[in-house]
Amino acid sequence: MKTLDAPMPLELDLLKAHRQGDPDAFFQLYRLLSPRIYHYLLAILRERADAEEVLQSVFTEVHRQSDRLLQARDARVYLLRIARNKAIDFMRQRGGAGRNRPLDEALLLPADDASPAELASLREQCARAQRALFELPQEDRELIVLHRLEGWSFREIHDVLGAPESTLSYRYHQAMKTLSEKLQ
Amino acid sequence: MNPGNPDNRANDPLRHMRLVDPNPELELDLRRRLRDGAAAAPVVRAQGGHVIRVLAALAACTLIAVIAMTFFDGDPVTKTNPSGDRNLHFLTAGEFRDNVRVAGIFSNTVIIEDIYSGEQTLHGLGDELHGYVIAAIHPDRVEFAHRENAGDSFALKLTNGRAAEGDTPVIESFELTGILLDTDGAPVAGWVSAYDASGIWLTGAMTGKDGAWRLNLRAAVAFLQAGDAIYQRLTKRVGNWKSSASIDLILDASKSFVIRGAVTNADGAAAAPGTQVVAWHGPRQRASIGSTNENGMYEIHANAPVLAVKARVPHVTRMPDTEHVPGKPISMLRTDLLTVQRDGFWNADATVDLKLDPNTLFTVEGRVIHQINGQPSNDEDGTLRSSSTPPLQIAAYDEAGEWISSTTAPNTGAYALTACRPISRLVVSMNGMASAMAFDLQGHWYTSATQDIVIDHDRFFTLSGAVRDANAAPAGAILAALLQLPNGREIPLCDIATAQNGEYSILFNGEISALSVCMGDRWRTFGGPWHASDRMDFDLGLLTLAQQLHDVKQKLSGETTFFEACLALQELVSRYGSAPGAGVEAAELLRGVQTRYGDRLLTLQREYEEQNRRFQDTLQALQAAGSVLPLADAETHMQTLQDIAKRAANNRLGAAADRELTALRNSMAGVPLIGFTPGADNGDGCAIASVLDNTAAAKAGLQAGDRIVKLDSDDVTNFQSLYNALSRHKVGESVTLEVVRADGLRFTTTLTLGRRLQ
Repeated sequence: MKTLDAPMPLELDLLKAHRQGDPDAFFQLYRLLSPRIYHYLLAILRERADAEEVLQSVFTEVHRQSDRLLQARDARVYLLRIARNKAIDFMRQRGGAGRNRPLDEALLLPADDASPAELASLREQCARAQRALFELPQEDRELIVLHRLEGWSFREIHDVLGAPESTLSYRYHQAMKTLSEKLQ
Repeated sequence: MNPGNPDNRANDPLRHMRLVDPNPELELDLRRRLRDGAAAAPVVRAQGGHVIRVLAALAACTLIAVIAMTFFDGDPVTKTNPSGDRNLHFLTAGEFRDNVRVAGIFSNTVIIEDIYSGEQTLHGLGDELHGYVIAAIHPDRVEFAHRENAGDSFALKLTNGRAAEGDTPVIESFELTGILLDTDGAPVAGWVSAYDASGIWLTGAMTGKDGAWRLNLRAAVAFLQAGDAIYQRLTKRVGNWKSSASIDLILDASKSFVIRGAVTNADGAAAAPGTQVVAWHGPRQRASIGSTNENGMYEIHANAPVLAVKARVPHVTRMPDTEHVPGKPISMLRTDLLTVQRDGFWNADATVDLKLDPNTLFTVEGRVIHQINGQPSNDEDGTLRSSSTPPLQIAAYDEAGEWISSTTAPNTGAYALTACRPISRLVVSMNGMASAMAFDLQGHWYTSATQDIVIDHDRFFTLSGAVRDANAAPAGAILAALLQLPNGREIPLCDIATAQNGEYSILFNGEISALSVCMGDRWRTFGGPWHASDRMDFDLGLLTLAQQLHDVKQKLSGETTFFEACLALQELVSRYGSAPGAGVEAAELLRGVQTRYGDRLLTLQREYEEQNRRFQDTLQALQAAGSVLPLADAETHMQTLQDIAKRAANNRLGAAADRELTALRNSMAGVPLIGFTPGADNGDGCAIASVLDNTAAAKAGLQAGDRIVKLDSDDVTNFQSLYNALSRHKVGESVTLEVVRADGLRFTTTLTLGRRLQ
């Protein structure tokens, strides 16, 4: 039996509960989705404070327009699209993504699945990888974060970014290649 | 969602890395923002047609305060002002577009809009918005200054376009200028407004005496509209202006035409000066307004065909008050609007005279008498004995079912209806909670007459029932009883709100053709007709039945959604299969699907049952394990759940499995639990005050009074050190504890660290 790309999501239940007046449902949804959206915003904006700012505005909008989200074919994709628009708007108004500021915040951290033995060397690798990753062009960063770090399929990324899946896949592999070369 | 290709993982430069998570305190911040932004406001329509919401000032103030707080935390200048131009920074901060924007600047007035609700508030120079004062209004921006601290100020710029979509094209600000002229080339004192392509008003200005106007804009202008100061001559100019330009606007009187005429009273005298005359383009489009001068003459300028001209004046009549007590004031005066209307089609200069003649009006008056058990229940003076009875609504309709007029019958039982056309039906209704009444009386009234309405309660039928929501719980709903005429027109008989137990009952004498049920904002009409006492229960799941069926049909054609749709269809049929319309259609659809796709359905059903069995088994196992779930077991269960979620991804079972999986993952994350409440901290180990049931501690046989002194190789001196040691372990891991019993016995025990259950 074939499966859908995305399983029937818990998000929709929470949204419905929110629409029906459950006061906590929205914040459960927030807890569930905000890390993913935040990671994506980081990829675009490269700055924690900016990403946090835009993250809040994304959810403020979702809170007000939750019915639109309910109607969306895939709520998570819809959210990413809102996030992307808002981030780009934000950049356009401020003039570039963290352009003049050094990347001195730790954005890339050792994952929970790293063993203690790996941790020490991993911290250093993270700092290098972060520098390399965030020096890539914005679209490459988005692709790597969405696909590699957040596990979105190219099908889903296509729904967000609009480019054909094959192009996305090709660009992703090129970007990963560039990233590896930078880290050699 | 599979993270990458496992084959490449060895060379993966991002192996074992993740992005930093958002600060958990953001949730509190969001709660605060949403709470502060939630105030609602009433709507007031201001002159010129722009919707202005007055009391929303409060909401806008709060929003601005939120923004201000966001930006004035710490040092606003160094933090937010790299370019040194403070205003510029605040102007371009994305935050403003996310909450409020300056929707328009109109000479000395600023319109501030909450971009989510669309609520607009009007502000002027010096107005205070939550500690900030409007310090300056420029053509393209508004400056705010802090009331106390002169150094604290910011500006909101005129940003146009729909910010909610987040893709407003940014255009350099530009200026449109010009002169407003009439056809003779003479300047006109008037106004000019600019609109975008979707007809949203961008900005506007009054012209000077020399007709000159100037608009500052930051969004593409699709058309300009201009008019003279008394809104009699209008002109519209379409274009696409994105940069500065000079445009002369001409109020071309030759394109408009004038409708003029006299408004007279019944005696032929001129109507009172100032009587309003309205020319209509169509049912809801007001063309233009004129009013009569001292000679009763009016003039209306229009620039589109006029379909009707109406004039109206207040008309006072005295209510019949048979029981008037001398010395008591006569309170039964009622004011109707005496309307005269002439229909036609005018697209050139024309003369239309209107005669306001109360003689064309007639009055039907009398008493409403309730007759119960064959006896009039009214007292001799006509008052209904039961004083708690709500007032009666009496509506008059003509033969075609067109409403003519309505009145409310006061408690004296006397009523009077004023009409301008023959009445052929009176509907007396008593609307209420839980019970309502509709009395339908047919006849012919075409001149002033006295008509007592005898409501014979013995001849009433009762239509009653209950309204339940989709969960079969009593539901609050509004029902409207309708009477359908042979020509298809529907007359409302009465409205009723259900009681708390969902019950309703309607008394009626003739026929109820249909009942409309409304819950929330959704109306659904259920056909009758009912001619006798009956019971009708409503299941509001039915309200959405057609929509649900539509969704199911869409999904039936999808390869992956087929089974989900079948499940949904089965449920629809089991609940609503006998409902006329969509219910019967659903049943037929299900039969068709079963005939055509029987084998496939059976296979999918077997698979579903198999997965459901696995799911139930897993749930039971998880339940049995309680808090103490060894890592290996947890992984097995997670894998099973993941597998079920994948295999049943197209139906609710998959969703349930996914939910259970998330819950399980969450419970396995975080600091593990041993399961006791700590006692006093003496620095000699973590004392146990009591052991919680069904936890790792209970299973390991720990007792109150025990002290934990070691966890694996970590020394434990108090609860904090135990917690620190625990946080280095995962839920489900086995650890060895060294424990000292109250009697001094020191022993070690191995236990599986527990998870936190919700």
